[in-house]
Amino acid sequence: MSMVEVEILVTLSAAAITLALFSYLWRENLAFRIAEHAYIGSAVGYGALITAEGAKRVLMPKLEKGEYIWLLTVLVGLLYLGFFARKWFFLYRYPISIVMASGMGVYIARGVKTNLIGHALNTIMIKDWQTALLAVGVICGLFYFYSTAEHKGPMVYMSKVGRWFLMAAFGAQMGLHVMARTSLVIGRIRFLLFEYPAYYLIPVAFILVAAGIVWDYMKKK
Amino acid sequence: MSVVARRYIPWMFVVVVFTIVAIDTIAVDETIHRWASDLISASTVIGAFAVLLSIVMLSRLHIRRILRRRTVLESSILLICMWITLIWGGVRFFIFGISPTIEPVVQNLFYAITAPGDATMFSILAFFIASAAYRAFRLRNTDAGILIAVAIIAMLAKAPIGEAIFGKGIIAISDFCLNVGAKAGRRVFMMAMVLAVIALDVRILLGYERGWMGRGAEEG
Amino acid sequence: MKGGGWVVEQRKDEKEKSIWYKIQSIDVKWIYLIQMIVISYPLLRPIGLPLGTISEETMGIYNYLNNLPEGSIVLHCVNMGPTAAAECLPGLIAIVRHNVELGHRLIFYTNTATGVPYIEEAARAALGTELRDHPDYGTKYVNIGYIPQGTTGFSGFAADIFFTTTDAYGNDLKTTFFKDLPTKTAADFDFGITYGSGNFAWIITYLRDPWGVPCGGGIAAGLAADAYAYYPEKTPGFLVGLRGGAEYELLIKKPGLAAAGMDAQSLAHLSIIIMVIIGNIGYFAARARGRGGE
Repeated sequence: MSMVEVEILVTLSAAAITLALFSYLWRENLAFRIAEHAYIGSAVGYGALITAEGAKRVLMPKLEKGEYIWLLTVLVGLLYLGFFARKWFFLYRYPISIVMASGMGVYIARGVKTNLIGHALNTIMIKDWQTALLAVGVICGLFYFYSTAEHKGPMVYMSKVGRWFLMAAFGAQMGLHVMARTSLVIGRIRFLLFEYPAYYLIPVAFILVAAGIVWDYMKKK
Repeated sequence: MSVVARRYIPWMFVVVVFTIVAIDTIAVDETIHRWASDLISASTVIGAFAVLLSIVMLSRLHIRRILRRRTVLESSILLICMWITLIWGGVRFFIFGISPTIEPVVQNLFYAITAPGDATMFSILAFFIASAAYRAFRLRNTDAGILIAVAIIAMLAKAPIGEAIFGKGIIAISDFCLNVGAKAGRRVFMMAMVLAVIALDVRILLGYERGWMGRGAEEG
Repeated sequence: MKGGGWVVEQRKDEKEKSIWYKIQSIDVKWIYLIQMIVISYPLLRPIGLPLGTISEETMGIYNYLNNLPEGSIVLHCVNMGPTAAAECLPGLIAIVRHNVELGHRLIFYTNTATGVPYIEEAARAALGTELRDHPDYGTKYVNIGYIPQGTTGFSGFAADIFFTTTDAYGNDLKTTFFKDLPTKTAADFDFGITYGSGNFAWIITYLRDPWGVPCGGGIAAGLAADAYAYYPEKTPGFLVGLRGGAEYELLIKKPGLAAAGMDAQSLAHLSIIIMVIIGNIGYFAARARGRGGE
């Protein structure tokens, strides 16, 4: 098979998967389920391969240097399979404990420095009215989450103001999220409309969906 | 198996690994740095084996479905796509040494199935957001009003149409909303998140939090 | 209650006939269809809306990269999957093109398994050839590829750039690119950029603060709100989704996919805003009608 033929097949497959998944907007159907399952299987397979390649590139140089103690990491990694046996389930905790602890250790000091102390210092550095308002918002927002004492007197108003700032953050996130998802749709539709030979599948999809709608209508009648 | 092997040894691993890696991030000591570096390398390799869990779980689930004659077609397709990728890519990588990054069949399968699937699944959310915007976003109170107002301002400012209709004023208002309002809110979340992470880490280290041990954590 | 049941029934009938109730209970499939048309139409027939003011955050990262001297090392963390690629890939391509023009040395890395093909795509678009086949590969450009375990793996790489010993293609990392670096750690990098739909905080936490490397982003818009928390104290700037990519394309005078998608973005946003307004008008009108009937 030539490169061009392979590319055409790949594009047609991508278009078919895209249209089958979009058909969920009409209703859940067999095409959607097939596309969904194909995508999950392929994604897991691909992810596993790339992860194996990354791990090999970390491990092999150490084994090539003669440090065979590193084979223990493979043995410990295989202990994940203890998850599937009731009697040997506890073995699953060994690799989990190492991975989790290293992630925790790597984050704790850096997270505190950047996301707690860093933010606190940057918040109290007031340069103009906007940074002053920002400081008010952060302090009031933190008071909103303060649950050790009842919110009475001025704290009621502070937590209310804090809630407003949090709502502003949610609103901004929502607005930007709309932008993000819309960009995805634009990408998909652009692919379907302009990529050869993806656009040949659009009328096929329309006919199938129209047939499905007529079928649903007849069934309802 | 004794409770020592089931509970205390994994817990000890957590404490020792955490201590060495955490100290390495704040102290400059060659020995600690070497140990921490080795532990990070080890956790990188060990963590990669977690993909075995997903492969075995998916295979078991879908083989059971096929044997029980439920979702036969869909499950078969999932297993075929997964195992073809794994077997072909695995043989080419482990035996012939061709990285899956550049192996043509694996990359073609990625572009043919994974990439469009992933992108389309999440792009469908745009339509759900539109229907949610129409049916659920109601100005019931001040909080909802602020949320919707900032969302609308952000949407208008980030698309050219906002400036085309309202001029540079919308950009200034959006900058204010994002650089003051949203920034304050995000900082609050991040600071609260770090405090929560510290609390969780302390609970795990002291043994109060055993959820990470999975089922049977209470009995050991 | 005498007469009470009849009044309730009448109100229920009136409610069902009311145009505001009908507007609020429209079938969602019509909304999906409207969105589909609104997004597709400008792609087929561009409206040509000008992009408008370039945002400060985009100017910030552009100016910073523009002022980096030739030979500076820029780390591109392409942590994007297909989900984020539609938004972030145009920005990545624009920034890589800019880097190549300015003569920067580039390191590509990803902590997402699905980010690997997008490194290749960006390099192909910016360099005109496969990354590994480029004559300057190994001297000016290096692809570290995927390192598992996300930020933990990155910490290992930042502490020792020979963490994996080989690049994504199996070549030894001890090449000309890294030969003259003083510390062989992330401290030798001059700028770091993260792309994708992961949070922005990670690059500040694991690269900027511990190693003193200034960082920016070409991040998916959904998580851009996180990035504002660090701007401008900890980052000179970042690109916000497709809009940021379009702005950067205009700044380097090479419009591409991002700029072409802005019309569709505009109409989509406008349609959602109109839907929110109509929904709320219907809600308040139905509420007022309900109160008037009491």
